[in-house]
Amino acid sequence: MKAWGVLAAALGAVAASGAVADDVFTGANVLGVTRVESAAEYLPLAVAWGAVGASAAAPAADAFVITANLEDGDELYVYDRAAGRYHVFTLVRDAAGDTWAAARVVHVGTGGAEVATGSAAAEVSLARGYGAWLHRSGAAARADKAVYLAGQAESEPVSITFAAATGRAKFGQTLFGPPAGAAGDFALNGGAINWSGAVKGDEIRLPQTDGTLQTVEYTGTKWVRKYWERSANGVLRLKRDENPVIPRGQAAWYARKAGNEALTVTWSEK
Amino acid sequence: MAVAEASTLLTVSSTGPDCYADGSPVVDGEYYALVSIDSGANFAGFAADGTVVDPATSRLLFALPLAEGGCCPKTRVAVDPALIASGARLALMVWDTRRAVRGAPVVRVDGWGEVADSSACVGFASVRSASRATAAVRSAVPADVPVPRITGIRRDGNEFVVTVEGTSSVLDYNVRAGAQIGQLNRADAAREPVTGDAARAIELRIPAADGETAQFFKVVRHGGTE
Repeated sequence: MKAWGVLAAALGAVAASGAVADDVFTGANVLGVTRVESAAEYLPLAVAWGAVGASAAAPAADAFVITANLEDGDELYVYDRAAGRYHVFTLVRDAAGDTWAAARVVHVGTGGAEVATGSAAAEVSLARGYGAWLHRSGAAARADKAVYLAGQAESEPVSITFAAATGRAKFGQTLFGPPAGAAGDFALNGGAINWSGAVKGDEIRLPQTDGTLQTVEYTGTKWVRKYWERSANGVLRLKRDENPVIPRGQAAWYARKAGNEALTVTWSEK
Repeated sequence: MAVAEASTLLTVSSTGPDCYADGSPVVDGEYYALVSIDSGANFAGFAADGTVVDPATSRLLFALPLAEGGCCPKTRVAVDPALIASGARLALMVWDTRRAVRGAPVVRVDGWGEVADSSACVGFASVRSASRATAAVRSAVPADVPVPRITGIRRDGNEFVVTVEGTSSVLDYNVRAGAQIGQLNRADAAREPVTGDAARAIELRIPAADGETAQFFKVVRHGGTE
């Protein structure tokens, strides 16, 4: 994370003042920072930014999240869609600075089990529009620390492909994160993504801090979250949220209903 | 080995020291096995060749020579969700393979013990021992032990009599019973365990439970866990 030394120092000031949620730093390129507020132990993060200094390039795993307010031993889980494998990196903090060390991962599939020793974090790219998991093990630190994502601001359209269900699975699931770098939560019905091809029964599942999932359903024309709310007199009523959002900087599962092909959508900045 | 993105991601580890039955700590390179056990089922153990004795209710996810310093070091695992039944629990087991030839393609399991377990869930889980408790290693079932098969059932007075073939004379057998097929919660339901007999069928007698309109029986190795 040496490349983020100056940026991390600047962020310290942002966090201390609590003045703004998103700041933009200008230079040879336009850099952006997203502050993600969550106390979740396992936090799904959106790959919203590009690699610094390289137009339209994906960020590497070691430059995706700012480590200054993470803790030694925190982990990053990155899924390699082409290989069907997980990369896991552990944050090592020592006198030389912060580094993401590759961890050994045992992959267990229908054909057996295999041990992968892992690639260096600098060699593993994260694709914009998708997501990765951050595991913060320290409960006290999670309670009052945000997570900062940073990278080069990109406005080029991004294609995101949601996997089809395989085998007996009822859904194919893909962790995606809106590539929008703008402030504010991402409105699913906001028009930045053309959902043509989504089918009734597709779901977007937002991981919650307590580990549960909040489900948003596609009705055929838009995304709607249905939930039960208890009124003052104790009566349960079914409510509808027709403007569901994905919290800024966070990722969610796209659950593609079985029987449908993989779906590719395009995000365009709005 | 490709896995789905929505795999169950877990960390397995043990604080150790994990020990063999003779009390000595496991040697470096000893095998740890991760097993998925169906809800309500008891784990029947491993055969000497490392396969699970009861594949109908349990599945071996991996067996790897992970041991370092008398324990299972922190190891990340991604398991394809299709391999874990809903509600299953995951258990980390240590093997005793000291008598196996190191590096040989076939592992010989002379004993096993459960180190830690966890309820499986979508997303992230942890299978790690919470204390330094030593895992006692029990004898594994010989590899050539057949799976017992119920071939008949009859009512005799106030008892059900189950006829069983495919038993081994080195084991005693009993019955797990329950009112629902997924909840065989009456362990050691037979009036008494019966020693197996490879040459002929054995009979296990189960007192009828009062008030139950339906009963299900499964023949198991006597001892309550298999």
